[in-house]
Amino acid sequence: MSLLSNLYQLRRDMKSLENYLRQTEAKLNTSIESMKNSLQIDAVSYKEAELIKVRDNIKEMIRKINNSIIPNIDSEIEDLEEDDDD
Amino acid sequence: MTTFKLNNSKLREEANAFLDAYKRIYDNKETLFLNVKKIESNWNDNHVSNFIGQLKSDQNRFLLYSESINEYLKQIKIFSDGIEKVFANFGTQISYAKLNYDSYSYDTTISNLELTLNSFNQSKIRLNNARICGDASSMIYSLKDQLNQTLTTFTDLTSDIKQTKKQIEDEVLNSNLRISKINKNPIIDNEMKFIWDTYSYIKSNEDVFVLVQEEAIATLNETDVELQKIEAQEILEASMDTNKKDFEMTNPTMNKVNNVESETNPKKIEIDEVKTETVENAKLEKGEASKVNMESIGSYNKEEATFENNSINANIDTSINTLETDQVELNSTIINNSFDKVNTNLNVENASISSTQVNHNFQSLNMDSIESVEISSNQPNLEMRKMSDINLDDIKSKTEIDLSIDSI
Repeated sequence: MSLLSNLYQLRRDMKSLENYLRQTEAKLNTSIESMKNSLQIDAVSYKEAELIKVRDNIKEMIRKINNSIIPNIDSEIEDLEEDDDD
Repeated sequence: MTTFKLNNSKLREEANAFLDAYKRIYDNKETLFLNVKKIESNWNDNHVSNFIGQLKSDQNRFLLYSESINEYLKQIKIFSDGIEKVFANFGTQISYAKLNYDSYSYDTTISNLELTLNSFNQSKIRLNNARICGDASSMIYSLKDQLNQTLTTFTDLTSDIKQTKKQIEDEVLNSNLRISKINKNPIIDNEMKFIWDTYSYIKSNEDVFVLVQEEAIATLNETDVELQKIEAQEILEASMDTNKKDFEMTNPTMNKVNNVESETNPKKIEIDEVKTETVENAKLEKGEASKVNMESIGSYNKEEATFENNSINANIDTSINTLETDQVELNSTIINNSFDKVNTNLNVENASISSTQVNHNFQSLNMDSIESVEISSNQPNLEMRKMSDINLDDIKSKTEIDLSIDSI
């Protein structure tokens, strides 16, 4: 397979990954909400804070995919497509 | 003792305070129950006045009761707070916690976390399977590291939360078991019932108990008498009547006593030290006492100091350092009286020292001015080693034998 084909596939993989991460974030939000509604004890409150950190990490990964990785792949694909046109 | 980990510090404090209070009551139950039994045995409506009367007349007994009642009321107050507030709250909160736990089961949370974990793993697989290439490779590898680290953290957290769920179940279960155990244990149940019934009884008679205490305290204040130690700056009248054995006053200190009268039939009276600066009338009358020890009498300086006691033992004389009085009359039929030193610095109108006993030793008899001194004895060995500053013309000795005067 050519580099261009691989980049197309990589872009799909990244979009797919972003999707999974969004699902993960959504499920994590549900988990956090259900914990908030449960019996509050110190140990749980601590875990809840840790889960929020994990969620923020997932958000950051999604942001990286959207703001850096996919634009970078798009740019490279665009360059390769222009080269092919030439 | 396991502490129930509710996220409510006040409740925890109350719960622990109750458990501590309960433990104190439990640990002291034998004493406590004994005292309560004593109180109960003496306490009914028909005997209230008698009881108060007994407390007034029997200080020793009062002290026992007073301490018992005070201690009991103290314990009861703690228990009252616990039983009325904390125990109820504790049970309520346990029920609430259980309800809370049932309503918002952690199973839901765990289930959601497992779904999240599954989704997370899918993301990881997706990323692992991606064919990384091109200029974004380094960013994707970095993303991969971040995802792996986050996933590890999340996996650990999920495991911790599962463990926490188990702990919560144990806490709720154990708490219920503990409460159930307390409620169902027949011994504890009986104790609780006994304490509660007694508490209710005392609570309903609290006014009377307070009255008893006030009456008793008033009795104490009236005489300022404490067992083992008597300290009174001023006592107008002190009356000690007792038929008890071995009544001891180890350190009575009375700076001013107008009237001290002790009538007693104890087997033993020990007064180690009596300090009386002024005594108008000090009278010790004794009937059957086998032993009266006055090891130290500081000074008597009053118009009349009379000792009438056929049983005053020898120890009295050895410790009379200073005997100052306008009129001295010492009558004794006891052997072995020994007066180391008798100083009468005042004018003595009539000093009569008479005895039929042997071994009277006057090591020093100083009398500044004596109008009439009569020393009579039918016994040998009456020695006056030193008599100074007296007018021998006024001395009439009826001693028939062995009166020797070393120096005058």
